[in-house]
Amino acid sequence: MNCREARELLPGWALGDLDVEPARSVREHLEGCAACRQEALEYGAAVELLKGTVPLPGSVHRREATVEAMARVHGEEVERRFLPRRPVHGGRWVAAALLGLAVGVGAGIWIRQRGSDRPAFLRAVEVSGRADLFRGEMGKWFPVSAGGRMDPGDRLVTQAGASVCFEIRQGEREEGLGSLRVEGNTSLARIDGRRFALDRGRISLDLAGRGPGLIVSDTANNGAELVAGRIEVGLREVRAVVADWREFKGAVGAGGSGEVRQDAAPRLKVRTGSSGKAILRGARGQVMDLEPDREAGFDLRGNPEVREAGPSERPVGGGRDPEGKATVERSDE
Amino acid sequence: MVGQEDRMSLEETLLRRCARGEENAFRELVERLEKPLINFLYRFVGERHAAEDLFQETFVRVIRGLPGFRPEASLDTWIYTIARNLALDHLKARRRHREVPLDRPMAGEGGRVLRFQEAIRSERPGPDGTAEEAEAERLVSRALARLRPAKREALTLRVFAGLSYAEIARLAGAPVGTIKFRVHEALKDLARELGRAGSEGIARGG
Repeated sequence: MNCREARELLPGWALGDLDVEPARSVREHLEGCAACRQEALEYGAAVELLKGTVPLPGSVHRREATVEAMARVHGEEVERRFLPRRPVHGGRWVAAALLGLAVGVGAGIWIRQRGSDRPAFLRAVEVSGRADLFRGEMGKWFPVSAGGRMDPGDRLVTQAGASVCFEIRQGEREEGLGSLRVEGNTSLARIDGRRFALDRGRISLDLAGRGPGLIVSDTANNGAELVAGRIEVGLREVRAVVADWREFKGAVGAGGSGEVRQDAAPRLKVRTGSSGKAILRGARGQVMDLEPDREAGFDLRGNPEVREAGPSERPVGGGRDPEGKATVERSDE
Repeated sequence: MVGQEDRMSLEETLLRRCARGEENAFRELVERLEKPLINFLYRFVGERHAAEDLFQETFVRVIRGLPGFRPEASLDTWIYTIARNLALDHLKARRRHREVPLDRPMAGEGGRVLRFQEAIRSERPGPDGTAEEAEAERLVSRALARLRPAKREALTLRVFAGLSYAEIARLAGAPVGTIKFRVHEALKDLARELGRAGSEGIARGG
């Protein structure tokens, strides 16, 4: 190896880049050449100097500031990408968290009451606009008016701009569980005591802080169970609005009575029989992939958790949609 | 030793958790590359404050870009690419606003450019060598600042981030041979810049 060749390789040699053979050749050349040796030392010194600088250490502050920025941006991205901009109903749900659940194509929804087989009792308390009810028993259509019921076998059809609000009770004279609102261009059939079929439009179920009395899911077995809040069900979407827990506390009563404990945070359990996505919007947006037979839960203050759904919690009835990847869709309104 | 497939599925899980918004996943992602990345950024842009900003911005971009990230690409390479592009943008913006070009030689004490040996000898050695460290730091910063961006990038990725030539080649979008050339030329420039330092001075200084 001559000096010209050696000089070409010296920087690589100083950095430790050379393979065994070339390195050996360089070393041998250096043993016999003072000029190249001097140059090698200079390169070596430069490398030593670089490597001898004190590196910036890891820093908790840097890490946490970065994580904070990432979380904030993530929330913004979730919102921007998955959820339409629409005002939340009423001013009541301050800082509400919104869960959107995009489901496999399924047209049915049903209401299940925990620990009870009795049919839910529905009576209209508010009607506006054009709404008609087909009474299965009589085989005829009637206009909906306040006080009217919706029984198994009935179908409700509302026109654009119309709205009907039903109260839901355990039985006619029994405890109220919440309310059902049907709005816009919607067609909803009541199949039996617990099951409904939504063929068009969307409905919204409000639990009004009554506890886990209602579970909503569709025939694809995508479902959401709320501790408190409101669920909206569209053909391809189940959306739950869960109150910010501070707001929820206020709703229970200043005395703090009721089932809600001081530190309770609304929980939302989500179950699916086909795949889909659940999106939680809030200060910390979260997105979860849903898989068949796995129950996922959102705790407003923590991370989502996923576990196998127990047999007792599996919804009764309804078929399973063929497995297919559901995509997130905005409500069609 | 984690095999290629294991690495990919570990990365995929981490990314999936990030996509869900899990803060612990964000933390893991940041920790994984924190030291080499901040040191690369600092040595590449030459300013501590800017490097910290770029560090944070890199991970913000990672979150924004998560949906578009293809799982078969290397996560680390992707993150470094983002960091590097942000750093280049920063340098471009800085050049536009600077009145004094970076390349102009800066005067040392007495109006001369200090040569390395003189600098070392002129400092009174402290008991823990901090004066030497500080001086070495100053010299390295200045010497790096004088390198052209492409060479500085290659050198800092190699020496301060510890990336392999193949990795640097991937993220710089240049052949491995070109990267090696840049690194070696950078070292030559550096050696020239630092003067002909006696090896004993450096070796003892440690």
